[in-house]
Amino acid sequence: MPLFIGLLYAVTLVVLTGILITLDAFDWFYEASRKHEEWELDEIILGVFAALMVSSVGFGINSFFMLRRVRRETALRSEYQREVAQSRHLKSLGLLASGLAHSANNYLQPIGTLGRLARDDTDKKSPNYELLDRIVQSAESASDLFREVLAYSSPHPDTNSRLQLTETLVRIEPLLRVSLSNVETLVIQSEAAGAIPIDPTSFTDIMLALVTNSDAACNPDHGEIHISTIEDADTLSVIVDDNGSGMRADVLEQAFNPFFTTKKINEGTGLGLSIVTSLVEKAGGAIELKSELNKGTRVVLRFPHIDNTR
Amino acid sequence: MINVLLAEDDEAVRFSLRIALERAGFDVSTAKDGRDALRQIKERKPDIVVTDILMPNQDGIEVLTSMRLEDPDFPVIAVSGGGRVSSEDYLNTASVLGAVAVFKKPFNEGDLISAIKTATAS
Repeated sequence: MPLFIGLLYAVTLVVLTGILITLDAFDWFYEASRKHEEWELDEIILGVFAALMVSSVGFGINSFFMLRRVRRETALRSEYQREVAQSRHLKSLGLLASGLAHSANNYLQPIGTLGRLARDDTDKKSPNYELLDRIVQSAESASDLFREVLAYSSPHPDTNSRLQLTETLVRIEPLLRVSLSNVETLVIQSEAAGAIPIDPTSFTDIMLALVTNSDAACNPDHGEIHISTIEDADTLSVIVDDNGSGMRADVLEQAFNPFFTTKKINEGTGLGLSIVTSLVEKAGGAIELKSELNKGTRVVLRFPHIDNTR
Repeated sequence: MINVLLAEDDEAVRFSLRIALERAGFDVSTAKDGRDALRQIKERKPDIVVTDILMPNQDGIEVLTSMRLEDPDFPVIAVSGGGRVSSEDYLNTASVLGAVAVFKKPFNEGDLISAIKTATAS
């Protein structure tokens, strides 16, 4: 690029000189200088030359800074476009998921209903009883999963909401489980009886983002994620622990920055934790991140505790 | 015997619910869409209507609305599997319009049977 600018610059000079020659500029200057006897010809030539020099240097410096700026803006713009495309993609995935869940529900209804009718009409000692029972159980597990997918892709988070923490964690467990690819052990332990002021969709988004982050950091051989809760009078905390690769201090420092990511292109946008933070803060909560390299990461979400009697 | 009209566009769902309701001792007639349902309601005068929300040719919401206009006390149960927006939205609308019970597919037919019994008991 600088070479191109230099070349452009040289060409401009040549062309300009050419124009001056064709216009018989020197004669013109000479005529002018004859009319103005008090001017010295060398002064005029020097003046013109100086003006040319100054403007070309100015042009060069300007081009340099403009170029730098254009480059920065282009990079930002393409980053932004990627994010927009990503969010459009997610939105259409959500639509797809809800359409899919609708069809799946229509398939699951007869499987469940007819399975239960046939099972309940079969003698418990019959070898078919257990088979029918398995069909019913699978249909019910599938129903739970699709219910979650549908809730997750629902575009309307309700405000003024209260969410029963333990109940919700149990409910979204299948959804969290299917998002794992490295981790086999996902343990959810919660005895919290209280509620937090957040809608189910946002909470599911948060938990999905945290669990996928942990999953990506974990080794397929012995990856474990533990989700637990701590309840006191004012706060209800959700703790997500993993035994993954952890983060160096400098990475940890940047972890909350939007667009910061250690993942390769197409593997992640780096928006995860910044979105999580904004969702948690919108619910009046706070997020804390602790990490040790090669030991694992702990994310603590502190939400305001809603009194059950409210 | 209690006469139930079941309006549902999905053949497999219609079949399975009809079997379940018949085994529970109801007299069941079925409709494939909202228009068919409204015609049958006029002809057969069922005791209760169980209607899907998303159906071709007048959906469950329209069935519910016209039923309420004719007889505000007529019991209607709405079921939905979600879709264009979300099933909760439609089921909420159905509740507001006066459905005696709403069910989100897939549901346990036992719950539907008890809801029908409760609604027709009075």
